[in-house]
Amino acid sequence: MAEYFYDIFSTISGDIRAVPLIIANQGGPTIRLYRCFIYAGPNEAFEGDGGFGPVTVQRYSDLSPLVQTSGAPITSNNVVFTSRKVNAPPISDAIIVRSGPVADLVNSPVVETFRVVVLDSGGRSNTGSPGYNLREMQAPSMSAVINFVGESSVQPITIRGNQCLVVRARVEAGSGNLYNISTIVEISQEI
Amino acid sequence: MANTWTAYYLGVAFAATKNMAAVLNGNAGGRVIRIKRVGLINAQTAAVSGVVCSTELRRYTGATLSGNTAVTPVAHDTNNSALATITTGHAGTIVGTPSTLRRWIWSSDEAKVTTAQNNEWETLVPLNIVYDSYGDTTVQPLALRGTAEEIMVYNVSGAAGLLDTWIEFLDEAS
Repeated sequence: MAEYFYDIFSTISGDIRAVPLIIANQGGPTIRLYRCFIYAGPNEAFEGDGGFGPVTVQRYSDLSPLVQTSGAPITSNNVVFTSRKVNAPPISDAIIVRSGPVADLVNSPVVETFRVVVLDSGGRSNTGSPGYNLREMQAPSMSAVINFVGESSVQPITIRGNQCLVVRARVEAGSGNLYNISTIVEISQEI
Repeated sequence: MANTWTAYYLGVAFAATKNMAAVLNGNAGGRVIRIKRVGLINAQTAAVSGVVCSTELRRYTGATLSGNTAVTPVAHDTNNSALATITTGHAGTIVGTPSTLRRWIWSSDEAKVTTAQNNEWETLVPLNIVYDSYGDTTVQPLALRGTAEEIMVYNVSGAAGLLDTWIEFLDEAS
């Protein structure tokens, strides 16, 4: 067995609820999540406050996040997938990576929470106090919400068959829409 | 890699002399819990008149914890063997002999969109890891033996707002 590493970058915008990233394992190789960065932007064309609210990193015990109860479909827009090794095999067809707006997610039997952070999706602010937007101004170094790199005794988060890793965002009522939220994830597949 | 778990203590209300997040190893079977990291997050979105909280990371010996609100740790790999019988939770009655490992202050105000004060910086995960045993195998991580040893984020004073805490630990046979 060998472990191959890949970078995923996604940017999403435009709704009050969104899933910046879903990594769904439909019975494929074991996926390990080593790092996850979440930040507002890049919003070079917009200056001001965006919607704000919690962003969660959770593992679902089934593939239900690929289904939704209502609203716009989860799309595969704006997901960039890069292998770190030129000759590495492509990511398995059984691994589905998506991002997109969503109204609600179907609950899984078990939803396990690894992190909750609050995020303002506002735009650039090169003057004045940035507020939550400092997450954008310092991205990506300050925006790590999951980081297991540097300690080999610690297990990364494993996504096995029939599990999903979900980065989910929701803004507080009345605070406006989400603007851009970007997610950087470093994962591996073991084949 | 050792079997690794994260206990996430979501939205725990600050109160004086309160257990905000604890892991207690009372497992007589000999399993050892090794603490790798402890982090705090300000994830409040509701407005609150925050105060300055004086908070400590404590290790207890001879510990018991009763009447606490339980938190279920999450396995990093669902193939991990079952976790040793330990107690993870917040609040409750604290018994034991404490040693203070870290001490800091924390703004319990909610983070606002337009400012960059203490409570906004508290939203950044890398800046708010209060215990870190990564990166050097010659350094012992904090070990909790099954003789009623406990680690706790303890709030000495300050009673407003909410705190999220995450504790990452290994469950090992010896």
